[in-house]
Amino acid sequence: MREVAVIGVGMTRFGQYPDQPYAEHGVEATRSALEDAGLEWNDIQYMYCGAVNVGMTPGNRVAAELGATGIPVVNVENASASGSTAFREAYFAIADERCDIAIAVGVGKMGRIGGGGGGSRAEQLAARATGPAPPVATFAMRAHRWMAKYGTDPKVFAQVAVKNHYHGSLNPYAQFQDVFTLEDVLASRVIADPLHMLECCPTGDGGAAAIVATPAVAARLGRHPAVRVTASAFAGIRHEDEPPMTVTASRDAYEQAGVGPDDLDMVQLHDAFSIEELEYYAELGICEPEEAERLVIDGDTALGGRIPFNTDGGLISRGHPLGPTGLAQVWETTLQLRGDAGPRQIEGANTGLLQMIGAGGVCLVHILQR
Amino acid sequence: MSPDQRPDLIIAEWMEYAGGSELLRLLASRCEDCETRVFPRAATCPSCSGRNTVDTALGPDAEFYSFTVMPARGDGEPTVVGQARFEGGAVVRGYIDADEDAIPSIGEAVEVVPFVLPAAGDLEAATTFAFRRKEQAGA
Ligand SMILES: [Zn+2]
Repeated sequence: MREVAVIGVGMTRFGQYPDQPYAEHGVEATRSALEDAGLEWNDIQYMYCGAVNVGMTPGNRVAAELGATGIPVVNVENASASGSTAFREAYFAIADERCDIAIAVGVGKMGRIGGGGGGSRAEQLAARATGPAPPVATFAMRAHRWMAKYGTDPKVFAQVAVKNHYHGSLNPYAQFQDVFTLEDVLASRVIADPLHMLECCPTGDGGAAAIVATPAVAARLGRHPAVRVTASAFAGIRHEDEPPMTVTASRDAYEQAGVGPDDLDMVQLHDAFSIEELEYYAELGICEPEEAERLVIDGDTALGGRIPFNTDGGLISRGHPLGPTGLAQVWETTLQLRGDAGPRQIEGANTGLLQMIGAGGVCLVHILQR
Repeated sequence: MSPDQRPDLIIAEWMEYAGGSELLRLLASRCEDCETRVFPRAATCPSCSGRNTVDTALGPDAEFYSFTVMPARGDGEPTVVGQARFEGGAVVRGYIDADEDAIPSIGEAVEVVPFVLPAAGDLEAATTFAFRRKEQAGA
């Protein structure tokens, strides 16, 4: 396996753009990543594209607008983790010597996602028999279970949203850029008790891209401090998620990178719903589950704290158009490791972990280091 | 409502009346290799991939596992859904037969009861299962 470096990142501001075709988001993100790397589109040798429900061959549509250079384009769909999966495949294209420069692009157009109205007659019958089951209900039930087990006040979940919205307010590419107080979050509409609207990620559109290459290419370009991909781990779900996918994938990633939870300077993770941060603090080995609420209350996981989580606003504030979300995590971590994260910058950041969950039972964990 | 007045079970392969007509059992599978229980029935064990599953039933007794209340948008009733954990470990999702302010506590004993879904639009009325706080003896 060859070493792999991130040499260029780009993204669009996530949000609602009903009149803009998704391919435009992909083109804008790709051009931005190419400019960041100091490359032209015809330098790219392999393309992977993550997207959900936007139609056939989305990566090819993006590539067609950039120029038909004849490169292989592979489209991947893994729900929320589509962009992370595209990134992992681009990583392997370099590591396995398939090529020297590859790009992972993610695009999202949530207006095209149906509200679960599809499915066979048997699936519709099963849904009626057991009651409505949107993702927020699943996570709300996990939140009640957590409260019963660890005695956590649901205001702590709301505080996670306050933190991530604050981080998003410092990120010009975040969908939300407003600071919300605890009172604001608790006054927002209850979606599924105990979770309020401001504790849930929005739907949205956007694009993000990351270019990976060999260290030799990175050194030749020499535009930025080197950012290395030191782990790429993937765990599929087991029955009842036991052991949890995040435990399995993160332990694999720690071993690949030769680091432990104490070595992390920051984490980006799947905070589609506020409760998830507390669960993953424990599953990533940052703390015991009963200690998780203290990390929020004491500000340990906010910017300026011991180990900031979701420094760009996370899914809750930066947004979550599915296809590009995992690549937005790469964008943020790369900027942080280069020292280019502006008002969000963590002093001396050397190591960042990226975790992404996808419906259907996938979990990807990457580690980036400078 | 007596069983003769109740509409048909929504999915006959999923449940059966237990003894009388006021309780239900859920029709499940048990893996003979690893003892995993799975609802609804499955020929392949989701835990060990083995094919040695046999029919079993869950309930009517269970332990209340979790819940959520989704407020109605506009008029209408809030939706209360939850989960119950059965002997052998299976956690099953379903409706809760309780008002929003009388939901069982997590860990409390519940039982599986028939629950009528009224006709709505093209959908006919049907009977499904729900979890209800277990009646105290003599209460
Ligand atoms: Zn088994």
